[in-house]
Amino acid sequence: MSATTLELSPAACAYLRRATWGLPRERQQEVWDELEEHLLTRAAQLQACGAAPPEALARALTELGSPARVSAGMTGVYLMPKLILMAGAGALALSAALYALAGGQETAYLPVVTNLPLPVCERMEPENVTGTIISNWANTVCFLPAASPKPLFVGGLSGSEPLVSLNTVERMIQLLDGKTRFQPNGVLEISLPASENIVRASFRVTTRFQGQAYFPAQVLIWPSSSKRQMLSGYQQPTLRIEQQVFAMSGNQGHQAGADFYNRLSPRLISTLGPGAYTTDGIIGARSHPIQTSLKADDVVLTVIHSHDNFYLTHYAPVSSTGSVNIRVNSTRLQFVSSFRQLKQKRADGRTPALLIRVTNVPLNNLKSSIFMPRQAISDAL
Amino acid sequence: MNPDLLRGNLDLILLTILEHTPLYGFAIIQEARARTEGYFQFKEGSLYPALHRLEQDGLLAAQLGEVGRNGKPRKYYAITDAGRQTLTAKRAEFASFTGAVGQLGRS
Repeated sequence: MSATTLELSPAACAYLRRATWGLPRERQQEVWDELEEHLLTRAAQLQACGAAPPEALARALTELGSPARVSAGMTGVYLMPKLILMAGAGALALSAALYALAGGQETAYLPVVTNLPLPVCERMEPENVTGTIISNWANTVCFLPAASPKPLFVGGLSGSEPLVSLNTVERMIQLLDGKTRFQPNGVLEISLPASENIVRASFRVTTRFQGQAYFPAQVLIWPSSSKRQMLSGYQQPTLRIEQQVFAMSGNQGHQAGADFYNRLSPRLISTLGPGAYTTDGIIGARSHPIQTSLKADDVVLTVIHSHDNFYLTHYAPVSSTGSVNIRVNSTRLQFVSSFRQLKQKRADGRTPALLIRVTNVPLNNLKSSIFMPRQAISDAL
Repeated sequence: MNPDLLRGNLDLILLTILEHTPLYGFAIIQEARARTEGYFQFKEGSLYPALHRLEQDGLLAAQLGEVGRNGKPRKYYAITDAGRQTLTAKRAEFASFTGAVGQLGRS
């Protein structure tokens, strides 16, 4: 961050990194410098009173309090008003980028935004584009048209596309000791050190808004990674990656969480069977209330085979009584205990359905989270 | 002291400290302790966001001062005209509140 940080201990640098997490780039250095100056001045004062240098710096850090508190306050000053302004203009739904203490563990609240203008993607030469080019990858150019008949917004079956800014992704990966590289063609490369391998992933920018690049919030999930990732919560999903906790929340409440899970399907389904693929989660016309032994706010993924290797998915939260309302288009369901069984035709005409708990379980081993409800069959209400 | 009292009146306290002299963050903490003989113990992690908020609200203005221990100019906070008006209003509000509480005790 600055040349003088060499004088700081690794703990102090980690503190400053966390305290300035989530701030706009132009503010990060300013806040870093101010806190660094505070720490060094207080440490010098303590040394003058007889404390040894390492002890003095450690005490100065303690006195400054949790970096979460500082980060929460600072992002509240610099991020919230901007996002609220944008939301007020109808451009964004937002969440606060706040740090807080949760159960003694620091939680980074990720700003997830929705309803940004979406680009048009076409196979064409970049020089023929009339508008702002968002990305140019794999012979496809995505651009915001210069003269659009009406604003283009992200829309989905259940709401809007949750997006995270490049700045947010970079800060998150930094906390995980990983690296990011945002290329001029709009592709973001992420590499993460892990115990067994290095996770590498590439994502294409979804859109750009006010100079900032935005990516689908799903870039934060790597279900095939050896890094232990765990989701929790439906309305405000929280992602735990080893010791780090990241929470996503938006002012659309339920919608933000539902949209996040719905768009997670392609990444999760691909881990269940070779060649398995899907689109976003659906909300079907038939309602199947089922009883489970899961806890409230756990999230259940229902998978149904469609054709070939294509599957349909639905997400639903567990109620306080343990019930889950599955919404699919099949009237009669037979719950099965393995992914392989989904393709098997049944003589009784029931549609095989697989239930998977996707919260509070490791995402890189979803097969172990398959469960059977109390009733093995269900007829729609 | 009750930390809620400090938190609830943080703007009034900071504007008062900076009423006559611009100060940087660490010096504000020292000044608060010195003037009140240690009564005000700031949660330092809350101080800086509050200063930045007051600056964003136009009640304080930042000035760069002498080079600090990290080799960079210290950020001084000075009260603005809007800050003085707010300080006057907050003082009156606080006086009304404490007066009313006092009246409750006498009745």
